[in-house]
Amino acid sequence: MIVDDSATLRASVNFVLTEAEYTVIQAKDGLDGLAKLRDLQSAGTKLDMIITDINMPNLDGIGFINEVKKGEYKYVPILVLTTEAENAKKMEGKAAGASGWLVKPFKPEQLLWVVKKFVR
Amino acid sequence: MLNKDGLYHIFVEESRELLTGLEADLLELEKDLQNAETINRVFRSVHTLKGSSGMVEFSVLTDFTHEFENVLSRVRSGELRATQKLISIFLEAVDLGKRLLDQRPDRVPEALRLEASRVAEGLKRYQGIEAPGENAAKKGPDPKDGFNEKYINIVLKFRPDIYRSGTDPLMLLKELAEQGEIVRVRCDVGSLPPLDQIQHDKFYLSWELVLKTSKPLSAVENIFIFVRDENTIMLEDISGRFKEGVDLQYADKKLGEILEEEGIIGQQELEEAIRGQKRAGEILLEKNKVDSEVLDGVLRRQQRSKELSQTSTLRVDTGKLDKLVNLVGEMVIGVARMNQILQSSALSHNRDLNDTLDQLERISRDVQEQVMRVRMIPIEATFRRFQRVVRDIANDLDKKINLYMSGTETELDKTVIERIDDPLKHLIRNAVDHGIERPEERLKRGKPVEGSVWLRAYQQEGKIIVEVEDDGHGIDRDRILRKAVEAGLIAKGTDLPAQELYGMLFLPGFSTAKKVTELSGRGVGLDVVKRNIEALRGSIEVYSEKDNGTLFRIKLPLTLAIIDGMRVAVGTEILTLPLLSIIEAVRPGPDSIKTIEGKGELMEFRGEYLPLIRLYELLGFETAVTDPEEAIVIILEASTRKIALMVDDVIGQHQAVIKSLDTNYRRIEGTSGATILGDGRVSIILDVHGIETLAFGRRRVREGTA
Repeated sequence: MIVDDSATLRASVNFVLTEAEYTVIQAKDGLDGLAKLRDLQSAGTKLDMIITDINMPNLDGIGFINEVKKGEYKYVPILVLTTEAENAKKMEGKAAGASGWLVKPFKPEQLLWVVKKFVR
Repeated sequence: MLNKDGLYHIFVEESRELLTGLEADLLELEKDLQNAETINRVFRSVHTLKGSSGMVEFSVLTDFTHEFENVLSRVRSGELRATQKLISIFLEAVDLGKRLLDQRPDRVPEALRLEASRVAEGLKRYQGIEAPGENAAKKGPDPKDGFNEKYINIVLKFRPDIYRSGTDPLMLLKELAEQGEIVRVRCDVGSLPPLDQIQHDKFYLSWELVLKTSKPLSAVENIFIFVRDENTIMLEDISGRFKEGVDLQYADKKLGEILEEEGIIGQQELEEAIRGQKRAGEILLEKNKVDSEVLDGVLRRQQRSKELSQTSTLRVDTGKLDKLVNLVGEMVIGVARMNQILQSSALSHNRDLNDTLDQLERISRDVQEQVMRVRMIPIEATFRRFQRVVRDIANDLDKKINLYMSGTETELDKTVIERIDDPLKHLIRNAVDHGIERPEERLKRGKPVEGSVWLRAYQQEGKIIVEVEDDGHGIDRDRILRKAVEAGLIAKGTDLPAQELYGMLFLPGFSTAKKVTELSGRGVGLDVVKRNIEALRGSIEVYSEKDNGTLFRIKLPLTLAIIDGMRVAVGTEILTLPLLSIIEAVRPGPDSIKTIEGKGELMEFRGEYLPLIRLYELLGFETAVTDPEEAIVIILEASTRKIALMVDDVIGQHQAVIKSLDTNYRRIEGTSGATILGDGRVSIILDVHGIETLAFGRRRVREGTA
C-alpha cells in the first residue's frame, strides 16, 4: 500500500511495483490509508508492506504509523518516504515503528531494492 | 498500463491543481496573515510540488520549489512573518511554476531557466531574514568560522537485531568521540519497550548528536561504513549553523524545541506541554463567547466535512468519458427505436414486453444522466482564479475592490468550464477596469470607497447561469444611442428598449469604438465574449442602471453532449434547431411578408421587420410548402439581430445527443452536428449563426452578380 498525497508519487510507485507484479493499493493521506486498511482487514487481505509519506493533510505519516501499529497490520513493514531535509521526520517515523525509509525523489531500482528487502 | 508519459501527464495535472489551490490559499493568507491553517496548506502544496517534480526529474521546478519550501518552512515555524510583499513574491513564484509546467522538463528555454533562478534567488534572500521583533543574532552561514572546525549532525538509529551482525553500537560511539568533541547528544528511548518485554539480544536506542571536529566529513563517515546500509546513519555538515560555538538556529526556535533537541526533555514531555495549550474553541467557551452545544455542533460538522471530503477519486482520461457519453447516447436511441418498432408491430399489446421496455428506457436514461454528470466539475477553481485577476488589476489601478463569489459548487461540463474562462475574465476585467470608479469618485457619489464585484453561478430551468455584476457607474444609455446614430444603426431621435440598446455593445464594429470604451467603460471586445459564449450554445444579456452598476448574465447549457432541440420538417427532412435560440414560432398572416429591393424578403413581427430566410431554398431541399402563409416561421435570436426562418412544420421538442459531423463526416457550414432520431434517421442540427452567415453571405453574392 502506498500512502501519499501526491498523485504523481502514488502513480510512480504504482507503476514500478505493478511492473514487478505486486498488487498496489493507493491512499491519499493517513485517514484514507486507515480506511483502506479497514477495508482490507474486513476482506481478510494480507498486506506485505506499507509505504507512506510523512507530510500529508488530515493525518500525517507519523500519526498514520502510530495508528497502524495499534491495529491488525502492526507487523507489516512500513517504509517512510522523506525528503533530504526531513532527517528529524525520518527519526520520528523510525520511532513510530517504520522499518525503513526512502529519500524522495527515488529511482525505480531504489524502490524495488528496498521493497524486495522487506517483502519475501 | 501507465507509462512514463502517462505519469508525466498525471504530474502536470496534479501540479496545475496544486498551483491553483496554492494561489487561492496565498490570496486567503493575504487577508489573514497569521492564519496557521492556511500557512500549513500553502507549505504542504509546495512540499508536494517539490516531491512530485523530483519524481519526474523536472529539476528546474524542483530547484526553485526547494527554495520556496525553505522560506515557507520559516513562515510556518513563525521565524518569518508573512507580509504583503512576501506574498507577492510567492505569487510570482506560482506564476513561474505555471509557466514552467507548460514546458517539457528537458526542454525549458534558457530565458525561463534564468527567470527561475532569479526567483529562486529572490526567495533565498528570505531564508536568512529574521522576523521583526525577535532579537536574533545576525545570520548568514560562514563556513570558515571556527578555524576549519566543522559541526556535524549525526543521527544514529540501529536495527534492533544489530547485535546479530556482530556490531556493538557502543564501539561506534566511542570511536566517534575520538574524532573530536561531542557538543550535543540526545538519546531517543522512544522505542524502549516496558522492562518485562525487553529482549536482551535486541537493541532499542537511537541517538542524534552534534560532533565538533576538524577532521574531514569522510573520515567520520568511514566509522559507519559497515553499518550504513543496514541502519539509519545520517551525517550532515551543519557548520553554517554555528557561530562562536553557538547554534544560530536557536534564535528562531521555540524554547521547547531546544530543550528537546538538547535532550533535556523528552519528546513526550514536550508534546504534553504543548497539548496543555488551549485551543480557540476552548478559550471562546471559557469566555462565554459561544455555547458549548453550538461549538459541539460545529465540531461535528467539521468532522463530517472531513469525512465526506475523503471520498476517493479516480482520474479518467476525458477521451474515454466522451466515448462513454457517445455510446450511452446511442444506447438510449437504440432503446427508443426498439420501442417505436414494438408499437408498430403485432406485439404492441404485449404488456410484459411493454413494461420491460419502458423500464429499460428509464434505466438507460438514468445511465445517460449519470454518465453526463461524470463530466461535470465545480466552477470553483475557475472562480478562485479570478480573485487573483481582480487583486492584480485593482492594485495596478489603485482601486479597492472586493470580489464576492457564490455558487462555487455549481457544476458545469468540463469543456464549458475550460472555455468559459476567457469570456469571464474579460467581463471581470471590464468590471474592475471600467465599471468601478476610482475611490475618490465613489466617495463623491456617496458610494462605499471599496467597489464590489460579484461572481455568481447557479442552476435555473435546466441551464447554468453565471453572473458578473459590479456596483460601478453603469452603462450610459445616451452615449450608446448617440454612437448608434453615428454608426447609422438607428435613425436619429429613435429610442430603443434597454435590452436592444445594450445588445449593440456586442456588435463587432460598435464595441471597439474608442469613444464608447472611454465613456461608457464597456465594450472592449464584447463581441468576442458573445461569440465565445454562443459557441458553447449559451447566451449573454446585460442589465445596467446608471450610477448603480452593471450585470452580465450568461446562460449556459448543462452539457455540450445534449442539446434541447426543436424538430422541424422541411420537405422530407427533419432538422433540429437549438431551443435556446428560438424566440417564437408563428404562422405568418396575409401581407406580413414584404419584399424590399436589395434587402430580400422581410417579415413583420411585432412591429419589427425581420429578414425572412426560406430554409428549403437555403439548403436546396424540395418541398411542397412554398407559401409562407401555409408554412411556419420561426423567429430566431441570431448574433446581431432576430431572423425569421421559414420551415414546413414544427414537429416538437426533444433532447438530442449531438454527434459530431466533423469526426464522422466532415464540417458542414451552418450545422453544429447531427443527431439520430428515434426511428434511426439522421437529423441535422442547425447552427443559427451559421444559417445567418450562410443566408446573408449568399444574398450579398447574389446582389453583387445581379
